[in-house]
Amino acid sequence: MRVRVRVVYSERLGWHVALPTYTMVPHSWKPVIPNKSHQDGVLPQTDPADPALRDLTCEVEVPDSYVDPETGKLDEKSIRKLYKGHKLWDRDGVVDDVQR
Amino acid sequence: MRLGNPATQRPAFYDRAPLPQTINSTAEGIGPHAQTQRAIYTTPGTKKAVVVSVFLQITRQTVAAPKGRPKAILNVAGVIQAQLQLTENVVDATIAAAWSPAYVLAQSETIQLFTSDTSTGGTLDYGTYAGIEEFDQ
Repeated sequence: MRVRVRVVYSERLGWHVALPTYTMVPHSWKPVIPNKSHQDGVLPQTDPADPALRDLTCEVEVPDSYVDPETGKLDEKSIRKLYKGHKLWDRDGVVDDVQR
Repeated sequence: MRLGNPATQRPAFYDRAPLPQTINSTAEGIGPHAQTQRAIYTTPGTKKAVVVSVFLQITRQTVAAPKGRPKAILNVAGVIQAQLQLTENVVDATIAAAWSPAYVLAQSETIQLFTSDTSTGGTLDYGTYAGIEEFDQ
C-alpha cells in the first residue's frame, strides 16, 4: 500500500525513510524547495542540516501488513509484532516518527 | 550404524512456507541528488530470507554540466555487495549488472538499494531491483 511519510537524513544512510521495508515512489517528494530539493531528492550540495529540509516527505509502497485497512495509515501494533524484539522497529512511537 | 531418517530431515528453505518478495525502485528523469535509500527490505522476526536475483542499471537521459558520479549501490546485511557508477556523459550511456546471488538474510537483516548523483545538472534513469525469497526459520 502507498503512504506519505517523512524523509530524514543520517550520515550512514543518507536520505531515507525510517521504516523496515519500503520502496520509494518516483517523483513524489514534497515540498520542492528551489535550489535545495526536487521531486526525487535533495540536491547534493545542500546542507542536510538546513532547516528548510525538516518537513520533507515522499510516498512509499509498504507491505499491506504495515497498514490499518480501516484508516489507511501505518499501524504501529502490526509493525511491532512483525519485528518483535528489534531495537529499531519494536518500540513506542515507531510510527509517530514517520507518519504524515 | 545410525542412518538419517529422511522423514525427519528439515525441509529445504523453498519448502518452509516460502513467500516471494521484491524491492523494485525504477524511476526515469531523476536529477542530481544526495545519497538516497530508494528501497529496503528487512527480514521479519521468525523468518529468514535469501536474495535470489539482483538487477542494477543507470542510463543517462540528458547530459550533465559538469558531470558528477551517478551511482547505484546494493547493500546486503550492511555490507556493500555492488556499486555501479556511470562515467560517460552522453545521452543513452548505460551501465547495468544482473546476477543471481544466494545472499542469506537472518532475522532482522536488510537488503538496501541506494542511488546518488553528484552532478549539477542532467537527468538519469535508474533501475534497481532485488528478488527475495522469505521463509520460516
